[in-house]
Amino acid sequence: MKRALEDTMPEGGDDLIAAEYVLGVLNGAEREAAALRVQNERGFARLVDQWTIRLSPLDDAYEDAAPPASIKKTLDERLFAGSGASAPSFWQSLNLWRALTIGALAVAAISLAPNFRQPEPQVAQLPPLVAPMQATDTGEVRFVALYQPGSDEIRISRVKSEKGADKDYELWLVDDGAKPVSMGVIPDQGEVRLKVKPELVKLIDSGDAFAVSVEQAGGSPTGEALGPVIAVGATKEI
Amino acid sequence: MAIDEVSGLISRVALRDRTAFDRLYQLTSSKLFGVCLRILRERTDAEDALQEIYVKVWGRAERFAASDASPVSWLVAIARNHCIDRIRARKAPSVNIDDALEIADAGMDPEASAVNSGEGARIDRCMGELDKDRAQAVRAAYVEGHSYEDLARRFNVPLNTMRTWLRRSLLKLKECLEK
Repeated sequence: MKRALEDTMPEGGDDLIAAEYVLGVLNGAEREAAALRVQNERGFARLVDQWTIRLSPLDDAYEDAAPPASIKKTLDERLFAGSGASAPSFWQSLNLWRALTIGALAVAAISLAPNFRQPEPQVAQLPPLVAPMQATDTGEVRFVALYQPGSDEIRISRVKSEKGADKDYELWLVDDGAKPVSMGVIPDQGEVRLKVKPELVKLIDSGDAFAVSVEQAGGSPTGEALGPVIAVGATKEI
Repeated sequence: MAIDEVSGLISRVALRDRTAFDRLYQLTSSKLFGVCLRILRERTDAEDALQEIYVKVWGRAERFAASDASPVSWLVAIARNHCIDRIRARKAPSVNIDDALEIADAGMDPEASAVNSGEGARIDRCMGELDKDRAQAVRAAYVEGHSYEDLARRFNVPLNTMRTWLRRSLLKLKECLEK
């Protein structure tokens, strides 16, 4: 050995780069490159997440300090300007989902086509609504919801999803500016029909969004989404 | 701070629930402002940063689902990253060597460790297995957001030596924490 072991720099590797990124020691271009990889590479993002967890006990060194009240006021003006006392328009939330792509709609059509029957004659004048729900982390389509106005069920196709056995997926209707309303727990099958109470089903409107959260088995006990929201997408007439 | 409540609030913020956002701010802004002050060391800059951080929290809440970190760790990570980006963008590094070392030492205070969570005690023990100056460098880097360059200057060692120290320390820490 030419040098003592202690003097040689350990080779980088993604795990160490992730560690250096979380520690905060990278500079300029290296830091920017790592930040970009967190956005674009799931594997690297996982490593960063693991280091975040590993080093997070060091957060105890930060002492609480109350910010001046003026900050929240400015923040509200900045985020919610023009929305008055009500919640901001769902559509104003730029990052929540990307514009629906042709691709997403194609997936929706393919996944539902085999079982999709023509609507009953008495409701035939209203076009069905479809909502491809994209994963909040990767943008992939994970669920597709289809609702025929006048019916009492939402059909859901699970394109791709995985959850713990002790958890359930819960479907939420998100109307512009209103509190999300639970449509119920999604049964554990690839393609399901979710029966929805008449007073809830009539809330569904074109342009509303559906979202899926992971909840304890049996669904959220409080009527509010408690678990993480994993997929979301707007309804469109087809 | 109730972890479950914060977790639930972030999920509701992802669904654009403004009441949840107000409550989340109420519960967590003191912690995050503490992060801003410690890293940025300038009050007006810290105030600007805090606003930017909550704009990011509002815009990114749905990404919390993809993380295994606790909700508070996830929020602190957003705050640290924002503040570190901010000091890197400053022209000249404003490192006061004496202040920084003092703070790094304070971080090792056994009394402070006593109030730590179990995880905190564990990382303190693992830090204790590192050489003292290296443990100080790791803590100063994490808590105050110093770059390799800042640390090399402060500890008066070549840049590559500092990088070697910290990489070795990180590997040792990982090994120790996973024991």
